[in-house]
Amino acid sequence: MEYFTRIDLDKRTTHAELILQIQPIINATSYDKIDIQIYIGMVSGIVYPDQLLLVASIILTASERGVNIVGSLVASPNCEGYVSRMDFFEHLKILAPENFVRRESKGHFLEITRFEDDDSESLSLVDKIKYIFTRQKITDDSLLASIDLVISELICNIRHSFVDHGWITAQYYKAFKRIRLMIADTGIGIHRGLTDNPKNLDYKLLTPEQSIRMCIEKGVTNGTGGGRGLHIVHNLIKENGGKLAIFSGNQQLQVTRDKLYTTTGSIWPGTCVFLEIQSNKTVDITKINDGSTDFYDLHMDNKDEDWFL
Amino acid sequence: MNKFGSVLGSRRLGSVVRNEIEKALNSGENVVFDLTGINTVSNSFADECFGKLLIDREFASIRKQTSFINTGSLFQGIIKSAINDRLAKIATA
Repeated sequence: MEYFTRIDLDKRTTHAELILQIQPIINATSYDKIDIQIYIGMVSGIVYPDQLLLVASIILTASERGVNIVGSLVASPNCEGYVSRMDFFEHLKILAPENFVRRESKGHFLEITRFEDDDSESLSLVDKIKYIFTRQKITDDSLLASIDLVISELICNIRHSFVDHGWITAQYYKAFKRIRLMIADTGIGIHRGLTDNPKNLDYKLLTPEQSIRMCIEKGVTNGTGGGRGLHIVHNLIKENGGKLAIFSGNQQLQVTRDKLYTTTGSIWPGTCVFLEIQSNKTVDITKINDGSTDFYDLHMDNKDEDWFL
Repeated sequence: MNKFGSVLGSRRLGSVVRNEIEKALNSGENVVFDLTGINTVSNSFADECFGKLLIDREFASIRKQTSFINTGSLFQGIIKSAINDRLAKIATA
């Protein structure tokens, strides 16, 4: 079959709208041909890196499974250089001459990056993202430690999606004192992750909506992890006052400090986590990594000075 | 520990380190975990590396043969909580 889709990448396009626009690519099989027309920054001249990541990762995944993808791309001159610098064209093998000097990204942003499951190279991404904060003279140790913890857990989380790679990008916005960050994979997603061979048999009957609501609760896991990853991400957002959005299957979970709601929409094939973190709002790391130590304390009789020297 | 890198984040790395620890413990050595130069210890790493030692060993015997230095309160909290969760699993199994 032959399909056509138009993708409008602009700062005003929501993630949900974008996922709807790329749906024909997500649904395409290896026998299909898709004609894509991509327009970037045509309304505001601004595009976010997480929007580029959503599109690039889906096109590449479709291409890897044999979908025949053709099309055209028009980018606003205001953001064409940025799109190129974030490696969007390079990932899609689009020849686009760069009329600028490529400088180191370190400390400003992290290009759209494909990372492999659980290797040491992937974990260096944690340092790169933390460096964005330290480069901006953000010295809040508790916030930096929390970011370390959250990013490393999210990178490791792709293992629970039974997929060998994921995608990440980040950008710091100095004027708004915020970092936007996205980590996505095209694995089995949260609902299948919890309901296929569940560790806890009660999970088997979970609906997609119940699954996405539960995934941020402490200890909820398919058994391959400890169920801490998305829980501490949620804690960070509650403490920091930023934003969290999780897209998985046809469910979308949006979280701010005061609100938590789900919506049903187009399908993201896997799990996609979007974070907006405020760089000027401190956090209490003990509230983020709220692990219990009751059994430990019982065994130690509350005395462990001879173990932790 | 810093010979494994400054980010102790992944389960795979945790498993590699645990294998080394188990070899040392099996040969009767005492092991000191020095976290100097470590920037990150994730919950996943801590569970895989330290928590899973409890699958085949008594907590008391691990304590006798091991100790931690230069941990700081954050890493201590992560390691204690990983051990706690394993102890809880064993207690409720």
